[in-house]
Amino acid sequence: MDHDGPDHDDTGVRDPSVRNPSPAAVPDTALPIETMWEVFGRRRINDALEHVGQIHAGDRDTALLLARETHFRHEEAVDYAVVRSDQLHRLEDPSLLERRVDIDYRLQRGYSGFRDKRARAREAAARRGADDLQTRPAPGRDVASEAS
Amino acid sequence: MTSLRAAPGVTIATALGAPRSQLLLVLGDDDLVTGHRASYWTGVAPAIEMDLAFATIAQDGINHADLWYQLIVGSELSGNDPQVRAAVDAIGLGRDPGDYRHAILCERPPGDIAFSIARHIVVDHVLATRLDALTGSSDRDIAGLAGKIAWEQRYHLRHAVRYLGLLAGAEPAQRSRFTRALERVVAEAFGLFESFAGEAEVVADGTLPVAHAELRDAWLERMQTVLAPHGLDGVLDVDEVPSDALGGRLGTHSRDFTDELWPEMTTLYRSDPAAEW
Amino acid sequence: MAGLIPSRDQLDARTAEFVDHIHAGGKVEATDWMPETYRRLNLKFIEMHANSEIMGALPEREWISRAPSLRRKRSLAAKVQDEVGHGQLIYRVAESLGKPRSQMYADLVAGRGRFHNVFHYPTHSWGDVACIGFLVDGAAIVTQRALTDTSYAPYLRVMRRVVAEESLHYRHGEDILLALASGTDEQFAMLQEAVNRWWTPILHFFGTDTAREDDPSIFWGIKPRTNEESRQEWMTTYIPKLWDVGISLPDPTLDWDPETKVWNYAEPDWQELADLVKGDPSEATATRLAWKQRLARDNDWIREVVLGEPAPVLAA
Repeated sequence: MDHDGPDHDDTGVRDPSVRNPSPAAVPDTALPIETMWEVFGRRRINDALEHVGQIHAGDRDTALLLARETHFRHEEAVDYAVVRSDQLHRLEDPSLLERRVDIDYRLQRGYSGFRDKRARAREAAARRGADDLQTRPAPGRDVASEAS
Repeated sequence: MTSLRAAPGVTIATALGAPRSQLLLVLGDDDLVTGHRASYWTGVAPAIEMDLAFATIAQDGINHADLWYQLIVGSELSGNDPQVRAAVDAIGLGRDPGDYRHAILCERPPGDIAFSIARHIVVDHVLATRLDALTGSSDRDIAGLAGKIAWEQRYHLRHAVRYLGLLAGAEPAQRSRFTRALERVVAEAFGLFESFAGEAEVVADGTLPVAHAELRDAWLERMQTVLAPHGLDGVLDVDEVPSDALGGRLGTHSRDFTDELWPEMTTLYRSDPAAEW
Repeated sequence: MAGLIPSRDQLDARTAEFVDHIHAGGKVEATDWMPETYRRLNLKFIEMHANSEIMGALPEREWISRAPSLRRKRSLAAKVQDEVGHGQLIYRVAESLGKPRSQMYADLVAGRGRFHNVFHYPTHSWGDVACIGFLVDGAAIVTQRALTDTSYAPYLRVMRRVVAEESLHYRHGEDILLALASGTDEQFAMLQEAVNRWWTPILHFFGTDTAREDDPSIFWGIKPRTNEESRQEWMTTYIPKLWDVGISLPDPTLDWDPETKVWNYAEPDWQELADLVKGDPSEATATRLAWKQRLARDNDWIREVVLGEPAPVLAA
């Protein structure tokens, strides 16, 4: 589950061209960032660690101890991890992931029309006299009929 | 194990007197009363994450008590079967105060958080020591259950040890508040090692592999190891166990139990023991 | 209240764009720019929600020590624990809008924090446990489910998790209620008596029948549904279930109109609600807050030890 993210810029730099974080964001002195921890859980053994929320705790061992009953009371995970919130570095501008030109050449949606392409190749092969190859027994082929 | 008979009240009254049942009452009552007192903090602990963790520890006590009582009932039916539920509740909530076998320390009010945490640290180490011994019980059911509960206790111990470290390493005023509570708790903890009526029999036949007197020595060694790194092992030098901390194993309880905990815990159940809730 | 719903010409370009965005179903992240009104209203709403989870634990936890069976004892404890857990999640969301949790907690304990009306009442019997666990919790489920479409995305995500956990609470509450309804005459009477007391507070919980266009919480993208829509949904879900087991509601005019598909009922006394939330605290609330203040004085010192944050200063 996604989380709202720490609402401070941990590099201390603000790019004015980026949509500004809310001016009402709490100054660092008011939010004790060092006591906040991000918690990740692994649902089943083959899953990746997934962010599940945050906890307040004074140190790493206390965070690891208390996370169990804050986020995993109902058998939600077989494994979990914590990281101090100020050690989790978020991409300050997620719009960087948004592409404005089409990159379908490297996506599944850029490749289509396979029924027709396969049909054209089969017809071409038939014209070239590949009859023997196209009709000999093979898995997935109905022996009595022509290869489809 | 025999299955339940038609008149649970009569069956249970007879069964409770047997040495094995007395042992199971000691184990169950220590857990039930400890869990009951710990559940006081559910919803009102000083910090939310602390509340959540301690609430589970409290529930575990009540859950484990239920499992020990189920061994007294000794039914082949599932733990959720209504007959088993009725019998277990009759044991847990239907006895008179003099029939409970928990130690006095367990029935003390929650006090402040320092007292409750100190009690958690001390009592969970007693339980762990006793459970380790019980995994070697000649009674297969008891050995099996002790193993399962000992597994659950791993989290309790980790929790207890962490809090010990945090409090022992806190600022002087905080540390001394904790130390005073620890002294009071340790002194009364010796009441957990009183022997109960029938203990000699269950020790002789291996149901209880280690008598309480020896368990006390094992516990003291364990506490020495746990407390020494924090300079707190001095609390273990108890000259005299307060006399009012003793008697629990024989059914002599303090007003904290007879006048407060027991009525609070059992009144609604006792208003109609045959009712299903 | 109307001042919180600006007219179009009162909005600057940036705010107008923001309002269009949320009215079109768009979501808002913690790091996005937001108008001050949006931030303030969401914070107030979400803080009240978190406070309600914490104060809601108090009436229910009274019965953990008194539960009539060992199974109910631990399952009630687990349910109260979950409420505290929801408080933990929801406070975090409120924190992201600019108020530290320790401050919200201090305000709550000092009596400055607001929380839902239903948690200002005392409990008298195990029948209250059934009512709080099934009917009151049911009201919360209705509103929380609607909030899974709220505009503030951190709140939306937490509501998804809370709603998932509530399905356990629903079963727990129904289990207790059905046991009483099918139990002895005394148990049935205990349940009916409690239902009679909880009827009005539950009607109050959803708030007055405010039109969509007059509700700032809807304009600013917090709630997607009106108060009356939510109240009607609760009635549709829970009244037939109560009637099925022979439990009545203390309103002789209550009925379902199959033509209009609307529940007709007697309006509760809204002044009673106003007095409760704006006037002097109820006796139950005053007692509980005094107790929480004492607990805070005795025990808050440990927060610094466990959480690493300084103990909050309690205002008088």
